[in-house]
Amino acid sequence: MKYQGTAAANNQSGGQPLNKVHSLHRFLFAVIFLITANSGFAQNLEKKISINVHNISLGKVLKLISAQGGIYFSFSPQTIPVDLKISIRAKNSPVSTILDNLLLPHGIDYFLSESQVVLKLHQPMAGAEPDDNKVIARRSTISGYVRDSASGEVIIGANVYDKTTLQGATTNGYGFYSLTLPEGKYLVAFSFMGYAPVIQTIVLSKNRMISINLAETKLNMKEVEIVSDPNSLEINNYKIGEIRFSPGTLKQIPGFAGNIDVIKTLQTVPGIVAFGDGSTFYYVRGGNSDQNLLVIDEAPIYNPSHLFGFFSALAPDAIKDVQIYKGDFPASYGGRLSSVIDIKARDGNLKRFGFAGNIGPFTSDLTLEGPILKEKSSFIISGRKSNLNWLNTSTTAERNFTINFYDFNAKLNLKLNNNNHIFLTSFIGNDDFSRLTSPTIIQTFGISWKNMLGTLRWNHIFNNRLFSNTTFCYSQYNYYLYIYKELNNYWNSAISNATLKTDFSWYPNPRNTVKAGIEVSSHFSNPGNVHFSDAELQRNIPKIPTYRSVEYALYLSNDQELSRKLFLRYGLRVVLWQDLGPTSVYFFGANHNVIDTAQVAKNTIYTSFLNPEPRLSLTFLLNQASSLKFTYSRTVQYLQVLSNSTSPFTSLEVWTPSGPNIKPQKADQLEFGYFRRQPGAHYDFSLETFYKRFYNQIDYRDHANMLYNPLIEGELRFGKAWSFGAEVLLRKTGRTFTGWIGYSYSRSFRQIEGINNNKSFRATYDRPHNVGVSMSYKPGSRWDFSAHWIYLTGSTFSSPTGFYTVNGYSVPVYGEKNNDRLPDYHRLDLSIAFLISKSENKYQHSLILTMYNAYGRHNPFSVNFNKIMNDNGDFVVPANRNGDYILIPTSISVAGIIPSLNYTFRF
Amino acid sequence: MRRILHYLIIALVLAGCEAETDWPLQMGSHNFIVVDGIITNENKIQIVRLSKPVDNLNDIPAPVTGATVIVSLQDSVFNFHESPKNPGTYVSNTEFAGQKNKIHSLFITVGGNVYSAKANMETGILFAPVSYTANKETKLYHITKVYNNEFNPNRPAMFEILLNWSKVPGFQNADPEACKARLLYYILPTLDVSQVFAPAIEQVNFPAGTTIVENRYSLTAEHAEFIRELLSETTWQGGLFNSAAANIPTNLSPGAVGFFGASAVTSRTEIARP
Repeated sequence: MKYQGTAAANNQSGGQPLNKVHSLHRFLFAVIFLITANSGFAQNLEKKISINVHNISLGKVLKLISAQGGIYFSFSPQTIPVDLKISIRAKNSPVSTILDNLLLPHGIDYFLSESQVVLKLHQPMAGAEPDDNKVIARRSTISGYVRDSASGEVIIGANVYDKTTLQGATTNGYGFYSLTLPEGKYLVAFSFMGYAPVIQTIVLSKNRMISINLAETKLNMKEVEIVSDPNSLEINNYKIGEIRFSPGTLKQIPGFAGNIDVIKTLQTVPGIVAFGDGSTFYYVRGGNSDQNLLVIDEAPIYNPSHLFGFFSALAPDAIKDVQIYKGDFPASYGGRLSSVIDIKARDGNLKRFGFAGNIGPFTSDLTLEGPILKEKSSFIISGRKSNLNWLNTSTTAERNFTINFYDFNAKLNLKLNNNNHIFLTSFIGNDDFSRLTSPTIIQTFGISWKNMLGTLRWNHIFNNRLFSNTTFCYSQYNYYLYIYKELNNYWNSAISNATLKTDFSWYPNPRNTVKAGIEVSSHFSNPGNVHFSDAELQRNIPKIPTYRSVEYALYLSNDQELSRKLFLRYGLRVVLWQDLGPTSVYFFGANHNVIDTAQVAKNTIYTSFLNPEPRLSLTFLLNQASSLKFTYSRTVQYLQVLSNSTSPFTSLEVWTPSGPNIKPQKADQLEFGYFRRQPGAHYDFSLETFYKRFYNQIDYRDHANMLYNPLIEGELRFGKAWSFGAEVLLRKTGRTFTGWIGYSYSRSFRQIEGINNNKSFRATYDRPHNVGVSMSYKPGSRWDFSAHWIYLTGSTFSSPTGFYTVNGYSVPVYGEKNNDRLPDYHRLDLSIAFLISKSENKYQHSLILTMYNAYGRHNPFSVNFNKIMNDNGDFVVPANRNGDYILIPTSISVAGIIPSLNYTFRF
Repeated sequence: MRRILHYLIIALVLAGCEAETDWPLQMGSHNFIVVDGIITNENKIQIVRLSKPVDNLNDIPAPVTGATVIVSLQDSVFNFHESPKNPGTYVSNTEFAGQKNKIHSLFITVGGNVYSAKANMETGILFAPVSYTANKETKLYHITKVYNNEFNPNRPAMFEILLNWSKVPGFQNADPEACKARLLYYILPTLDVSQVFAPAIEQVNFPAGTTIVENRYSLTAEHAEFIRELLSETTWQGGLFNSAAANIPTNLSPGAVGFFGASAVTSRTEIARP
């Protein structure tokens, strides 16, 4: 059964929104309008009826129900919006269920009186929001969790609010909400996109713990389904520079080779600029790719890519929620300048065992989940492995490749009691890419990287208004460059991090949500050392000093409702960063040569930085549908990747902390935004503008030696950067059609001392025009069609302005840095999913056909001027330096059309 | 079948597509000369080449003519003159040998400008012979190994492999220049990702009986760094892991690019045997 109410009709009752009407008319029953003359039957609200109407008035719907159900209604036409346009589809459903879903969302109560069903507008006993100056005598709090009814998993970002006053709250990252209201009777709605809302009448006379289960809406649901919620708090909750993706949304976007891909999905968002094919690099509002923080259950992951970026290192079935902040990070986040991507892993099904998986030509994955103790504890295990390597049976073929990657997620969810909850998360990811250099000499070189992280979290509810989460997390990332794998000769860099932190959420009243936290982190970084199996060689090579740092952070923020129309969020994060020995510190002079060296003893502090990071956000509601926002934020970053690679692939990971030679990077960002949600029409529109200045930005001397260099900090050059832009996003959500169109215009410039003759230049990721169109069409219960198109201005690069010859080599001559642009990037991805099984079956399996780069666009990531064509027609670098060769300019792109057929299953 | 599928996937995913492009270059001003010279410890006529840059790929560099070229080594001064047959190529008036651990100075005067450079010479060492292998079908050979490790922090070197099969039966009537090849390999004190994942390089094939002359050039740290950056812009460019493009350094005074080096050369000659 399906119901749809057109919210625009809310205004049809005297031209006032419902809540206004309600405040004007006090319990009016002066006129009783008899809809039906049939009065000879007793009212039976459990009688089952069927009804299917589209966009007709509430009055007519009531007549139909009356006719079919043998009941009659009594109400005041001055207060009940009989002209409200309604769409409803119900098959063999009880009248009471239909009325619940038809009337309660519009604040209309009903009750049986004599032999009539009496309708009236909902009247809280004492809960209607009083005039601002009135003092409320007593307040009580309802709090609890909002969960998915099928799995028992908590729902993040669900709205909980009183239908009449719109006073409300949102569930936090653990599904917890707290709403403090004057004591009285309320019609409280619990809602979340994609779920049927639950509306409960709650008599609030003391603090109450109320946890609610929401049912996911499905096309073929037999029960009543609410598609829209016209009184949603979305307008208030809209935050500039912030976007959330649910797994459902992620699954609608075709990924590379049939894999749902979180990182690549983010790249469709205006303001987030993708590198291009096969890359997980992304640039947010003029920031570098290492200025993005990605956390899984609060633990940072340093390289979220498989196979150099073709795949994201996050198995899709293990993801519950993805929250993206492009600016105005909450004060609880820090350590990066440009964005935060907060991924919450699923907790596992608390109610029943299940499994899900995917089999495809490139990867296969399997997820198992279920309760350990029903309704109290659960587990989820998810693994994914590449399918590329087992296809290769040969081990001796010339230039033989080895490609292998896997990841493994596991999570335990333990409910100790109503006030204590523990989560244990682990993630391991591994990549191995190597190549045999010769069939006669077994010498393999290659790249390998490993991510490992674990999180232990403890949720504790002190009382209805105070929630805490304590986290201990550990994250480690290792990168190996094998020089001669058989001899175990390799270069290795690493970074690890251990964090202990506690976050508090305090809900003193509906007008304030206070968050505070304290955090201590220990960081270790090995910028890269070489290991040789030959002891003599090992003795003769220098050791690159490693880094240890400790970070202390405090934060406090408040989300405050200043008035019905004005909302303020302000916060302050203060970080103390300290570098500790043992290490060797090199000091560099003006010409970047070493002028002094210091040996620092163990646990001796040799650098300290203390930086406040203020955050401010002001929201003004223009009306029920639109709002204006202004934000300012300062962010500071203490860890950075040192790399001068222009490759789209993750190729070299040298993480280095701020210290004597590297000042912390800082950024100030101003944003101004307009947001509009067209009530009932399921359209969202947002316009955001930003200006951002970056300080202490890092660049590199020409041909910097980054891989194995004790003096790597001497290769760095510093300066400033700035970016500005405007981003437009139009989103439509609906039952059969969902999609968005985004466009951004943004510019990014840098000015670095010693680079480009000290003149400013365009950043590599300065790609002014960015268009993303994503559409998903689901005409029935079994077919799902998706299309996704992106367009980006080509990235900048330095092209030669001439050539000269030395020792047989044709050497390019460059002028201005990044003087040229690669061709514009655009790509269309298509996806068709067919549900093989019936949608009501417990075991569901589908075939998904995806076409990456459907029209085969050649999107080059580099242009080169150093190749010849050999006898096989391949482009190769000339080896014979006698000089008689004709060089051919070539461009390299990653992927042509890549079709994929995947089989997915779920139980 | 699986193997075919494997290579198909590799081709799709990794190899992607490299295509010829007609890339319009932007104009630049190139008011400099190019110096290319290595003084060796061999007692011979030493050579320094001077040329001009070109605006377009594959243009023939114009020689720098009429220059005065002098190399000084401690108290000795060696004058060079321009080869009448090869304009822009300056050869020493007499044979001389560079000396290890000594400073070699280059002075060039041309068009009223003076350019200079200094170069030290590291000691030369002996080295192992190259390895080569034959293609089973064509019976032609190609070099497979020149050294054990291309990374050595202490002894950087350049290996020049001169191949000549113009005297080999079957090739005696061919163009002698087409039966020669000059291959360069390096041992460097640095490692680069673009080096490890360098693009495919041309395979030079030669028949049995080819004369293989191997010359090892010692390199100073500065010379090795120049070569590293030279390779970053040439041999290592065009793979999947390029580094940021930039002009390569020089040890010449402003107004000139290229490199003036001094190397101790150790050599070995052999005939490619089946």
